[in-house]
Parts: sequence; C-alpha cells; structure tokens
Amino acid sequence: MKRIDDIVKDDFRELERIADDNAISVPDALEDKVRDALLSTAIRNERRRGNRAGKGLAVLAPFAVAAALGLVIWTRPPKLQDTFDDPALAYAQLEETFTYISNQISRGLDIADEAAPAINKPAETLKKTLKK
Amino acid sequence: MKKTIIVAVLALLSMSAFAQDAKSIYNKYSGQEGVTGVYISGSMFKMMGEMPEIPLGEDGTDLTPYIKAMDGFYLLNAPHNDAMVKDAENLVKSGKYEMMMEVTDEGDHVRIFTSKKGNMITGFLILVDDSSEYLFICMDGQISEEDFQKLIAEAMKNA
Repeated sequence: MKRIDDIVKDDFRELERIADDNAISVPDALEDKVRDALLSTAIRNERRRGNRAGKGLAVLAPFAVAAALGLVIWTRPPKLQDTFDDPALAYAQLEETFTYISNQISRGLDIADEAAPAINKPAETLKKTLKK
Repeated sequence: MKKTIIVAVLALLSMSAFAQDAKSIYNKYSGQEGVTGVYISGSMFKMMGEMPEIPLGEDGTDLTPYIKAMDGFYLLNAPHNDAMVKDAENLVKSGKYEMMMEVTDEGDHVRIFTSKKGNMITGFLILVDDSSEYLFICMDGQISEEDFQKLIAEAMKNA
C-alpha cells in the first residue's frame, strides 16, 4: 500500500494511471468513514472552542461579582448622625412637630365641619320633598 | 458560571432598592445649602422614653408612652425644591403609604399619610407644600393605631 509521502512525490500521470486501474478497489463505505471522521473532528474542535470561552468567563466572573459588590458598598448611604445630643432637645423638637401635625389635623377637621351644612343640605331638601 | 453572573446582575439590580425611602431622601438633601434637616434615631427615642422627667412646659404634651417604639424621625424644611418634591412624590407613589388626610387652605397644601401592617402603624409621612417652602416629615416605628390616635389627641388637647 502506498504511503501518503510517496503519493505526494508521484507526478500527475502516475496518479491518473492509478485512478484508471480497476484492479485497485476502494474499501467499502470509505465515503461514509471519511464523512464520519470529518464530522467528529469538527465536533471536537467546536467543543475545544466552547471550553476556552467557558474558562475565560469563569476567570472573569469573580471579578464581575467583586465589582458589583464594590459598587453596591460604595453607593450605600452613610450612617446618619442624630441632630441632637441631648434627649431633652430631641424631645422638644418632637413635641413641636406633633403640635404642628395636630394643628394641621384640626385645621382639616374645621374645614370639614364648615362644609357639613353644605353636604347635609341636599339630604334635607330631599327629606322635605319626600314628606310632601 | 451562569449562576455567578446571575448573582452579579441581581446585586446590581438591588441597588435600585436604595432608591426611595425617607432615609435616602434625608441623606440626599440634609446637607444642602438652605435645607434644615433634623434626624432622631431609634436609640435617641429609647433614651427619651427613659428620661425620668420631661420638661413639658406650660402646654406640654407627654409623648413618652408612645415614642419608645419609634425607629426614626426625619425632617427636611427647605425653600421650594422641585427635586425634593419629586423624590417625596416617588416615595408616596411607591405604594408604602396611604393618604390619611389632605388639606388645601390659604395656599398651603398639606398631606398626611400612614403606612400600616395590620393594626400597627409602621410609618407616618407629612408633606406640606406652600409656594415658598416645602416641609417633609417622616416617622418610622411600630405603634398601634389606638396609641397613635391617643398621641394625636394628646397633642391636639394642648395645641
């Protein structure tokens, strides 16, 4: 059987003579075997490429997580300081605030009270009409 | 590997959780020029609650029975500030608060909101907007509705 090195050295006429020689038989299913070999090589190459990409991402992923955590910590708002050191002063502020809130609520209730006659008027008119 | 990337994305997305709450609004504006800010922490509330004698003054209100359960008090008072108004509105729109009362009178627009968990009031927000000033007051804590009503009634008695 000829070796590839020998086939390469042969000239074109010698190769044509070999091709025309019917005594030399081609192994059965050679074409299928060649196709299978090419396919498995292609698959192997594709897997190698995927593994390389996966390894690259695996190396980068911890850095991405560290960067994300760093960003979260960096943007976290600072701890607040009490405005007052003295609880009595804080209490005075709180009392003033609640007084203000209660004034606003009273104001709202007063306005609602003023509106009550106007709200009741249609009901009274209706009552008078129904009585007739 | 995919899980690692998902964790990183979730960490970044969680930054949006810092967006709008009273603490972040207070942090954003309290140091600005022209803004008056007052913050009272949960620790200070506990200290107030343990004070043996509260200097009530003539028409003072005794708030000590109710304030021990408070976690934070945030007050901002500033000349009318569109950005602060927008942030406060976003806080209201977040769905945490429901409106308790709204009063518009003599150019003042006052809104009072509460947030609740069952029978407990967990937050109290008051926004006052007049043409020249904006007031933002927020209180966090755990106070029963009944105690909250007593607190307001006590303050109204002496107002």
